[in-house]
Amino acid sequence: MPKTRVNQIDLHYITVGAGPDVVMLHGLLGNLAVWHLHIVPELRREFRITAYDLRGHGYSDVTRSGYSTDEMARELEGLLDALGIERPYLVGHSFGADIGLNLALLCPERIRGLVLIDPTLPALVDQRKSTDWVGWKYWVAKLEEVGLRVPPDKQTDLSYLLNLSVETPKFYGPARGLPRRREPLLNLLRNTTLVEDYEKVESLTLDSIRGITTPTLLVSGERSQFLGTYAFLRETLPNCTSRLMPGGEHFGPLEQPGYLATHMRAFFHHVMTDGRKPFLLGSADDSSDAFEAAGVGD
Amino acid sequence: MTPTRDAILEHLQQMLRELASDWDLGEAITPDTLLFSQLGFQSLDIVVLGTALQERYEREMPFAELFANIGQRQVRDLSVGELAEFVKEHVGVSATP
Repeated sequence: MPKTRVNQIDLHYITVGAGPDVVMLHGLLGNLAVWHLHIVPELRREFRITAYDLRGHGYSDVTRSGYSTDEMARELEGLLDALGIERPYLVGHSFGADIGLNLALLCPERIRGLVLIDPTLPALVDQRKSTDWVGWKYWVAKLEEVGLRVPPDKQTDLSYLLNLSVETPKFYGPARGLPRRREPLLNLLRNTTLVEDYEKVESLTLDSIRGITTPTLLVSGERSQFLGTYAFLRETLPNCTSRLMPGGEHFGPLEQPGYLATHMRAFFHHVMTDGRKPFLLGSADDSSDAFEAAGVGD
Repeated sequence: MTPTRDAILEHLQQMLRELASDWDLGEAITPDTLLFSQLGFQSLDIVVLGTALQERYEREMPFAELFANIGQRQVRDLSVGELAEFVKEHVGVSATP
């Protein structure tokens, strides 16, 4: 199992394929398998893809602290150094997208292009603190679908819901319907600072995002609970093309991997051939579709 | 010379035993052993194993199709023997002597 030493911990990674480098970052409580089930097989003939397990996740080492997006972005920089990856495309889902965006802020020269799939953005956490946030109802409904009751006073409690989510069977992938391996996830939630670090805002403030000029493809599910973040980034990132994934929710890499692979490939090729121009051909409106113009419509 | 199914099976069992030190599998591994329900495999384990197999036999194998197939079964699981058979199909194996 390949691991590399970064910041005094071992990070588990898998590299396959050949071509320009792409590095993939999974979301909170996930692991690198999210990319390998469908997306990596579709792209590996054109790109060299490195997916890794974030600190505390999968087969990477677990530490008590060090889970803020700033710290994780520095860790990603260390991973790139350790593996000799100079200037990759970064693809991140959810918390992984936040980390990728943070690295684009800290070390823009290290990133060729950025694909953000349903980022959450710690700086917008106040949007999600409200008991009216759409994500709470969605989350509780998902848990109740599999027979887990959420007491009324816990229905907006992030830590409680994360802990309860570990009890659900897998919703996606070959092990769908089977139980999760709970112990490592519970350890991560109960014995580390992950949950509090997840909400920590350091360098990646709302104002700082205006200065990130890395070519970016932003994709969210049209029914995602993080559309507030999508709307903010779409308006704020100066070099960003945005797309809403029809019918999609939050777990795009598992829900619609084919859609994402197609759009990533088109975006990477655009940056390779015409990188100084924005991918966007018209306005920032999702309906003015750069992909259709590039012959890669839905 | 392409490997036989038995050779693949033996290699697969050896790989699982080696990986067992990381995964704490703790059971004897036979062709009938089920990866998910008996060995406690998660998607990540299948990815790690699948990547190692593709490197070992130097060819891509359609694991995504295999996963989709498992997802449609009544019992969503895969035995070590079935995985060996899947690998055999994709390395152009000669008939078992």
